[in-house]
Amino acid sequence: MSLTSFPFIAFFLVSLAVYYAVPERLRWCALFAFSALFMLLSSPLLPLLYWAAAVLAVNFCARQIAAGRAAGNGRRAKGALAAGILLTVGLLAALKYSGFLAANLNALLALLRVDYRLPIPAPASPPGVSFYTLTAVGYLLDSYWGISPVQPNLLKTALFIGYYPQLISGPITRYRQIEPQLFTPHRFDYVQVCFGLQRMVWGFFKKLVLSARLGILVDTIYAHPERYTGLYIWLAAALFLFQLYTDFSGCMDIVLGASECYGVLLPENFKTPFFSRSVQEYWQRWHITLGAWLRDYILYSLLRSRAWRGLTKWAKAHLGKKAARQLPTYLGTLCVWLLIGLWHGGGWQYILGMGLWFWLLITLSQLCEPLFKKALAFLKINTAGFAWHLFQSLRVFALAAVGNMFFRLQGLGAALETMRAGLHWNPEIFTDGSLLSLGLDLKNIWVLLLGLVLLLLVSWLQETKSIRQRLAEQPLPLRWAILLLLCLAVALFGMYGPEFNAATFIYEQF
Amino acid sequence: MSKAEIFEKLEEIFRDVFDDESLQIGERTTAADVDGWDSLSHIMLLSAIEDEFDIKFDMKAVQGLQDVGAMADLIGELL
Repeated sequence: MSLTSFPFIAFFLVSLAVYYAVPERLRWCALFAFSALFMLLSSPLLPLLYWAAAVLAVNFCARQIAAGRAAGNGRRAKGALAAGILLTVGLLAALKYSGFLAANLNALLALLRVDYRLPIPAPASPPGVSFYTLTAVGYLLDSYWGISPVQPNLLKTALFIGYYPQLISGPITRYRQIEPQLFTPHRFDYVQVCFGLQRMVWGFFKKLVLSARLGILVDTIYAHPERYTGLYIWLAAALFLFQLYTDFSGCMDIVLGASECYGVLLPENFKTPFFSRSVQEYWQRWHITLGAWLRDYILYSLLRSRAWRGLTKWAKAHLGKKAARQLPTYLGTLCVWLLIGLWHGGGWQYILGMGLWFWLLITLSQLCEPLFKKALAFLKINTAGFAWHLFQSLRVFALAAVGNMFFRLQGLGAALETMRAGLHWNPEIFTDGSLLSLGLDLKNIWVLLLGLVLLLLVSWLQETKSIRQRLAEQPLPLRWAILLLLCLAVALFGMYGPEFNAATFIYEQF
Repeated sequence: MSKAEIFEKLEEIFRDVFDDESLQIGERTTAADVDGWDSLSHIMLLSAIEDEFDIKFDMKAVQGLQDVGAMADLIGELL
């Protein structure tokens, strides 16, 4: 069920009415029932069995972990943790990455001149399999470490793993943070429901007015690489980053807004990433819950592992103190970045293009930091000024746009070929009306430009103070006027038709 | 091991991890007082402390550490 479809809006409104109609202590049951219904409406039956298997495994293993810890039986707890991770991650790997693995094995067989090919499996996945798997693994690890309570109730575990708003595109949640929200009875709070609905409208605006238009321009350019070369390529790269942002953060606004209406505050996934001063900061503001998950559960576990400590000792003895600090950290972050690449899809263009690209940028910037500092001091550049911040943010945008070309274009070869086609200087396309041949007429380009200006303005205001708090401080007529204008903009300028393919979120396939 | 000895060893580890030979730590030193003490270097710091004192931190205990004084107390408990 697409988030921007009429059935979803109807589903959400009915669920909200039922949620507040049932007695307070049964409200989590209503959320569970609607989450189950959402899955039944969104997916064939077989993939839902995989989800049910994951829930059963997580519930059973978490209870075993708790029992092992209570009895002081570390082996039992560790065994249950390993079994839980193996089952959930194994299911994810089989559903999402078996095709990638088979294709690579086939390439290896061809290289070895073996005349046999494995079939390429393409199993159907339950909705949000990547998101709920990471949520579940985090829960099992937190239970094992004793920093999270364990939920013995199977239905409550199922709601935690299958809460429908977060199944669509995340965010990845932590049980200890979400438990009091999901299971504590919520009273109807007019202000909170209004805030939630406002945020949903803002998400619809981003998705239907901006992302849909950006998608048309990007698709047109990348569909005809022979016609659109030179600056078209870099324009498409920049537009795609805006498309990805409006699409994914718009989705988050709808999801977090819907959840807020139930009184459940999910963690934020974006914090105005385009104002970042460095690529590292950009990734602390973009898909925040994924970055935090990888940091807490993968990077820290690696750095504290025996192998990494051995490496630190070896580096200290043979390469010096500085290398002993840097080498293990960079190797750890490399593993994390390769995983981020793999998260974006089973394909080498994601692993190398997304993962390795961003790791290289961050590592090089850290290695060269002393050099950059000296250069800035020598050139007497005021690094606290607005101009320098603007330059840094534009640089981050350009580097992120290039990295995301690997995400958008199919295959490593195609991405590199497209970049090569971009090495052609044709600035006349911005003045001779060529941009009007990309699928949007002048009126629609104006709508897009003004919408993007509004987006940047809101993001800029958001930097210093919550935009909703700012709105709440305005007089009532102005507040309603702004909200109605936004609704009107979505109704008038939203692109709904199937020809615009607005129904699909880029991140929904995860 | 006395608390003073723990602090002495801790200061050495801090200087090593944060690459600052003049770094001085006290009971109330927190991440905000040390340049470069972010979440990543915190993990490196914990690993270095575990190796030096031959102890193993519990993740739950690690999460509650507010300052170096609490860190020294925890080390004292685990020794």
